[in-house]
Amino acid sequence: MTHQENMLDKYYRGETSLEEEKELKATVSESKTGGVEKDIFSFYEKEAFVPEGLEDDLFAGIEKQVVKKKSIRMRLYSAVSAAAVVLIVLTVFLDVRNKKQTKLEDQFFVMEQALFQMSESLQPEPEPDDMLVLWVDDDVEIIIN
Amino acid sequence: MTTEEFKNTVIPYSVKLYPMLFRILRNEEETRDALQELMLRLWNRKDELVNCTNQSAYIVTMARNYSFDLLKKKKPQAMDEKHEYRILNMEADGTDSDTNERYEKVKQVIKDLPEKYRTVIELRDIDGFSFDEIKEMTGYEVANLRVILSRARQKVKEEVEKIYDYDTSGKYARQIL
Repeated sequence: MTHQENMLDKYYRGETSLEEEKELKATVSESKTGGVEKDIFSFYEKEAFVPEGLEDDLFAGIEKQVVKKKSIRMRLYSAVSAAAVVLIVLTVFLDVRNKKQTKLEDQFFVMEQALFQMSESLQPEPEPDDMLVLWVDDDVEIIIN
Repeated sequence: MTTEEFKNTVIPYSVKLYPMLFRILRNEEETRDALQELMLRLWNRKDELVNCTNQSAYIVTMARNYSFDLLKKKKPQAMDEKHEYRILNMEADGTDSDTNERYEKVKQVIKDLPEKYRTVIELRDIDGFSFDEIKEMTGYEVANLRVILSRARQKVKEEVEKIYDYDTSGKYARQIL
């Protein structure tokens, strides 16, 4: 029994490894004599056809997806950063405006107080009410307005 | 998992998965698109894939589920032009003039096999999956798979020999009418 016959026997028993099957199929396909196995293996070979450059194309598709995802993430980061900058600027602006307003209010209050004091000082002393004290004791006071 | 690691560990499965998906879709463009979609799904689950103890089983199971989805959606379709052209022009590569006819005969023999035999023989002899991978796909134990495969191979041989009369030197002489 030749090596090829031995391998074929093993093949039909379902005991060959993938490597042995690959070798067997190559040997049978290359043999000049035909045979049932040549036709069967030829069919398997045709059915196992894979287009050229398939793996590279698939990998390119994956890389494209990765770049696309990165681009979306970068755009999201950019939008978030821009929003944060706007928020900070707005906060600072509002804070400055608030401080400015408070300062003005304080100034107005100080001026108001000064005016009040000035007005108080310009007012004549209120005259004491006319009262007639009839009796003053430790316990009793008798006053007539 | 980096893109390079994915390229070296997962992408090589496309050589086995392409023929399997092509048998369902019978169209090269659609098969490419389906395989790309499957690879993207695997890429999106790369974290699960990295933590998986049996990556091969994970990929094969996902491919099986995906092919079931394709089968559900599939509409009856004729072979696409590119594939048909390739089969019809087999003679151009220096083989016998009746290669196309013999191809069709073997194809019919395999198509007529019981489903269990056909599935196992296609996964092994066409796609080149290991017994462990076929076990993941079909659920049959390896010992049982070897028996199924053995019977399927012998059945194919017997049926093809019924069509063609092969002489003892191994060279087929004529088609049995």
